[in-house]
Amino acid sequence: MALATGTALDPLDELIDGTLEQLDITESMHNAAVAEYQEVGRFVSAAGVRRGVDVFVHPQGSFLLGTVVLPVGSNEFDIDLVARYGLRRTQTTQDELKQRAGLDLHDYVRSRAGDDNGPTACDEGMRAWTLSYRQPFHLDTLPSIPDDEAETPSAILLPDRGLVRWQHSDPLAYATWFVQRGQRRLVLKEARAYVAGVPRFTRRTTLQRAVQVLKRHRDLFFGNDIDNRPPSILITTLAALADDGNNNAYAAIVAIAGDMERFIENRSGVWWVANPVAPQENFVDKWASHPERRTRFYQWLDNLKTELSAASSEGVPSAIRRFKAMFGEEPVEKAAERMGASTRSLREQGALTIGSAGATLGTGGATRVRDHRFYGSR
Amino acid sequence: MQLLGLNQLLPGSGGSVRKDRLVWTGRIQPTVRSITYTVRITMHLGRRPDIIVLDPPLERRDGEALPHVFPGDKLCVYSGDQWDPSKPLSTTVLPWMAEWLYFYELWLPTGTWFGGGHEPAIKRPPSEPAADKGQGVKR
Repeated sequence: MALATGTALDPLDELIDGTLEQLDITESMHNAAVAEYQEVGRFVSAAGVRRGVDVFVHPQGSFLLGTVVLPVGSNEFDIDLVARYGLRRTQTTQDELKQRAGLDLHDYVRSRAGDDNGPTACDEGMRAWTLSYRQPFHLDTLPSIPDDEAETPSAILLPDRGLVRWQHSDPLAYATWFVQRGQRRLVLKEARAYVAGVPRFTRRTTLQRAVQVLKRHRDLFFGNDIDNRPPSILITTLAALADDGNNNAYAAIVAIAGDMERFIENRSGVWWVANPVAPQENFVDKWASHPERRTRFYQWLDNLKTELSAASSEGVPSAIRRFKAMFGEEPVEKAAERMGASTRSLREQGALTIGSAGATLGTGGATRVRDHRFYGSR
Repeated sequence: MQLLGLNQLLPGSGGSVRKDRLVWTGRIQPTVRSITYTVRITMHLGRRPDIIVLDPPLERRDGEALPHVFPGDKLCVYSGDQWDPSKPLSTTVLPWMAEWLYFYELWLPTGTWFGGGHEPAIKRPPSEPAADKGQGVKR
């Protein structure tokens, strides 16, 4: 918020930023994960070439979107990969495709035997194969084939959980859509580079940060109630649709929380949140068979709105206490420490000022807060 | 002169000078997300100013004393010769009060004073330096 002269300190925005810093993966974790996913990609592609099949491996989901948050109580994160096998629907079945990917990934594990950075195991999940490591991450690889009927070349078909019906998706087009939503007020120079590789986001967009915050609050709110937890893709999509382009992370989250339910449609009795780049994909299709998930989604959203509203109106100490409950004691405590140290440092450098209304602290104002030391016995 | 400076800096505040005593009451909102505090500076000629928060009453953490106050919950916003009666309150004590309230708002939910400053000699182990120039002091 701008004062007549200078910029006011905004503790809530700073606390959100500081909290996210604690929940983000480190640069070395990021780089190790990128190197490993590229290694998997090279191996599986080479194996495909030997069989005359073009295989392309790329990340999808939060890693590609720049919205990773560390899981509660852990520093282990997962990266979702898509292995796109250049086969037609008529050339394979879902089961065959999944087994093919499993063989390739098991070969990969063997090829890295004895390498401390290599995978330690490859396990089969419902839809994906999971590679585990000594490092605090695992790679989930989802086999897929190109969706020849879709309009975009990056569209894919994925096996469903029962390996019966192909599911339509397009994670690369989704990532482009998401990034453009987040940066639509900025000049987008790196969209292509973003999709081709995995960039390290040194400065996240407000939308990316808002999604991280929403996911963290969801993780704590749902705890062990994993089945009813709204999927990240749903939260990410609704947040991107509701984002009003605000540059202040806290204000953006408030706006998003207040607006996101507008984008949940009811089409003749069926709840819909369509994938913006693959309109046949409904991110809330499970609400039809599991109505409690919709109920729980709204309980979560109501809690988010209530807490944010109270944090806005009750003052800074209350906001910090509420943030601790919403996002975790430790990261918020550290964020408060970082913020306090930063303000103290501003004063020591002679950069802290007060404004003429309420002596409100900021930078660039007319009256400087001279350096001094607090005193007193108690 | 002191009163004029304070009133000029914070429109809407008010005060009086009777004999050798200045009393000034004003409203401080340390950050745009903070509540507004009503504060009072009382100063006898040539003496150090007494600073108290009138409203809302300062809160405490369970059983803990407030950090950086003199008896009577008077805010200690400077040490030693950082202020003397020749220095305008409006550009010294007033900004320091806003900053005290800022660090008080962080202390209340965390228990840590991040603003630095002197700790009293009697409560300090002999090995620690007089001025806390490092991290916040857990109280």
